[in-house]
Amino acid sequence: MTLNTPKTALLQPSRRSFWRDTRFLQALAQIIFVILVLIAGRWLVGNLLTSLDERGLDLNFSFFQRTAGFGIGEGLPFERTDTYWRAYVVGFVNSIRVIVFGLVLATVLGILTGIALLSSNWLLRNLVSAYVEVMRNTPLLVQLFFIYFGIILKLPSLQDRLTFGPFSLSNRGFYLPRAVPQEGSTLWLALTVAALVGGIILYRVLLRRRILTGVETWPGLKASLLIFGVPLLSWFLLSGSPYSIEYPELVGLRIEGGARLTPEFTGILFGLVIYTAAFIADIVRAGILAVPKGQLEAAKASGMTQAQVLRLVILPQAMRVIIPPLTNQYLNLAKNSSLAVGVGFPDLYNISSTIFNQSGQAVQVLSLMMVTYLLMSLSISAVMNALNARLKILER
Amino acid sequence: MERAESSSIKPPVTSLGVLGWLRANLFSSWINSLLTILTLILIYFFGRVLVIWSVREANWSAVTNNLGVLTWGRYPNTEVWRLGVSLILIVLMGVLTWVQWSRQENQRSRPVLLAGWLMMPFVLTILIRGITMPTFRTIINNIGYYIVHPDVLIALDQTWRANAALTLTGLLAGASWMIFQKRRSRILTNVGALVVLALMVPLSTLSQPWIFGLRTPMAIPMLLTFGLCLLIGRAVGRSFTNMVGRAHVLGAIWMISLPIVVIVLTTFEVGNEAVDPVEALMIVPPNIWSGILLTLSLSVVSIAASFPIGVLLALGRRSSLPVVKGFSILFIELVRGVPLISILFMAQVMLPLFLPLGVNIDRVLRAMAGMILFTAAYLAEIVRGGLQAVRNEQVEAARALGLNEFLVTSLVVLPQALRAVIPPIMGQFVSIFKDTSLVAIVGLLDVLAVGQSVIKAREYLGAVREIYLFAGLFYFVFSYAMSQASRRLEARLGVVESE
Repeated sequence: MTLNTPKTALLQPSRRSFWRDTRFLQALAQIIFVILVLIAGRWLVGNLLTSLDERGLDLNFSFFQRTAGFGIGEGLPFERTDTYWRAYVVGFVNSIRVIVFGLVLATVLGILTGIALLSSNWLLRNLVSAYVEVMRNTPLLVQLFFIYFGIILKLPSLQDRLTFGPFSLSNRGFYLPRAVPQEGSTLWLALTVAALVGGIILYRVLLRRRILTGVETWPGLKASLLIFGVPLLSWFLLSGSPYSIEYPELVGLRIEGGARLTPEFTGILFGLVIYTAAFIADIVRAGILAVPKGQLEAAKASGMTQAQVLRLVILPQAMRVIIPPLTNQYLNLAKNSSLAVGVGFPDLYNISSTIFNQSGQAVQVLSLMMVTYLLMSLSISAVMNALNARLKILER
Repeated sequence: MERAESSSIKPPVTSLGVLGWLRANLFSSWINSLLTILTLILIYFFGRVLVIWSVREANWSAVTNNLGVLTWGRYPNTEVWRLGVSLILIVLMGVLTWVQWSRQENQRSRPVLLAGWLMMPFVLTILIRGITMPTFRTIINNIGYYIVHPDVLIALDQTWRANAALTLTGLLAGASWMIFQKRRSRILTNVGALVVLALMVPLSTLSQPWIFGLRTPMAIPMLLTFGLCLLIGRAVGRSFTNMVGRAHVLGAIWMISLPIVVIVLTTFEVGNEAVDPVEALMIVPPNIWSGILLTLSLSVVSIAASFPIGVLLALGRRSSLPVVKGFSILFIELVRGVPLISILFMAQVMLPLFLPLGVNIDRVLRAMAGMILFTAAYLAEIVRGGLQAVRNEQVEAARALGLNEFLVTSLVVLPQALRAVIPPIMGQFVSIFKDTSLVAIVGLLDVLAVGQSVIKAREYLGAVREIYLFAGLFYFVFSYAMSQASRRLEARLGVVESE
């Protein structure tokens, strides 16, 4: 393979015959490559068309309009009589649900664990690093099977469920209280959002003034007063509280009210989170260690408090080291969400393979699924790259 | 400075002994003490549950009674000794390599060890999969059959045998023409090539649809194949004209390859009359490999076979040819953007569609194909990192010495690049090893799937945790050992600066 071939042709332009000219040879090599790829492609496509013919299949996407004929356990409402396309959308939304919750929870747990890895407490540090090693060195699928078949499905039945205050855990899933919107909830929500936006703007304005003039303007205090004060006040001042809490309660043989996370969702989410968090922890630890010790000492010497040192000196520098590998872990989490099929959660992959089993249309179903996953990966890396670019600009 | 009231200062806290250690590591501040107590409560709670369960409730016989099944699954019990021999071979090679590594001054055994490792894939395949050897009678019989009825290869759809024989001969003839200096050896090699070509004459007069459906006499594609391989062989041979001892190596290859060519050409099966293959080692087809055997063979095959593809893709991605570069980038990013399970699913379901009718690949081999493509894309990115780490002066210096592009890449750039990425490649190996567990989802019987079928047996019903804990332990022991080895290697190579 050529690596930046120098244009030696320039040295003796007159005597060099065209078949020894690198430019010609490069073009020739590429043409040969393209021809080989085309021949291979034609062979593959030819085989594909013959095999599809043999099996009575085609490359048409219209079968997605046919009736699915299978049920889906959870997610958007779905009937047996709905189309394959609708089933696909349900699977997609379920996947997104797992990925979004997974990303948030894994990040939080991962950061906490990563800090614990650096703790000066011997017991905590070693316990956490044992957790990280176990998670990193066993396959996610084994962990998922253990969590789902070995723990969740072996929990007591609904009658003997484990309760922790309003939460309850059984082999039928995880039950938790739910906030039910009442009259006036829209107004309260609008006020809360307005207060949040106003608070952020106020914080920025006050902070800027403090930086410019040097006069203490208490930006954090005033902004949090606004952000927390308005919702609290309006909660009591508006007629009737905007939300009521609905607790799950056992009625006969089933539980009514509250929110329920199915055993499958709980299994895949819990498995993904504790697995990815272990990897994120290691990244966070390495990121913090990558900040030179002098930075910490200088910050302390200039009189910053412990929290200020962490927020203003360590984190901004550590983030730059953390973001690229973190992006990889986010992508892994999104791709690993396809292992939901192992615990029977109806995610994108699971539904796609069911559609394939029913219709036999392998090429269309698989290519659509791969394109969907590809788009998910691309959007995650686009967001993370934007974040990375932003942090880089702040560098100096 | 003087202190007037020195008596009011407390004596310093002890920093020695058990108490001192406890104070420094567990109770240095109130928040630390709190953390310690919380951790202790957590450990007590979980530890108690775990101990009580594993002593009182767990049915460990589900694991202990099925160790054999979990390890080699459906591999015939009478043939299990072959797995033992393979294991001993691998361990032996590993120990020898380790000994050789730790004694830097002893470099003599190095080529021997390298050759040994290169032979390993073939030896292990033959040991584990088994082999049928045609008897001398069959070979003579088949050669006779082939000469009288050359269309038998076409009728049996076995013309690839002729092309395989031609490819091998062409490559060797081309290379030896460039490498052998002595007239005598050149003539000798050409006689060998002529024998093979003469064998092809009867077949070449027949006609067969070739690419794009054109019916041509077989002679044309055969000559094209031979000519192309001759040219490639010449190019390769010319690149290695300066290497010491190449004539011995090539001579050895010639010696081995002529019988191989004859075997390749003549082991077709014609009805029942000409066949009497003797199973020197009973054939155990890959689709009944299962358990730990399947897990290990999948991971070893996928990392070993994907290595050359990964290197080529990495070189392709850095190539100055836009077409090659675009193709490599497209492949790498496509594969890296989708989950492994979807690639495995594709390999199971779509690969058969892309092959000619009637060609069936074992599902274990299909899974291997999927794993290889997947691993190749990830390896390509790792190798690309290594290539970027090779400084440009190295390339320039090599060019200034008059090496051609192929030699610059293979003798100067790649060795340095690959050396730099040994630790991440080990990491990739660990990750591939863990990822092989996904084949359980597409219906292969790896250690996890075998475990699942054990749980379904009536006497072990409900031994879910025991089986999955065993599977987890198996993966943990191997992965942990490999990560530790990789860390040592990293320190030894001195690639990574200490934290």
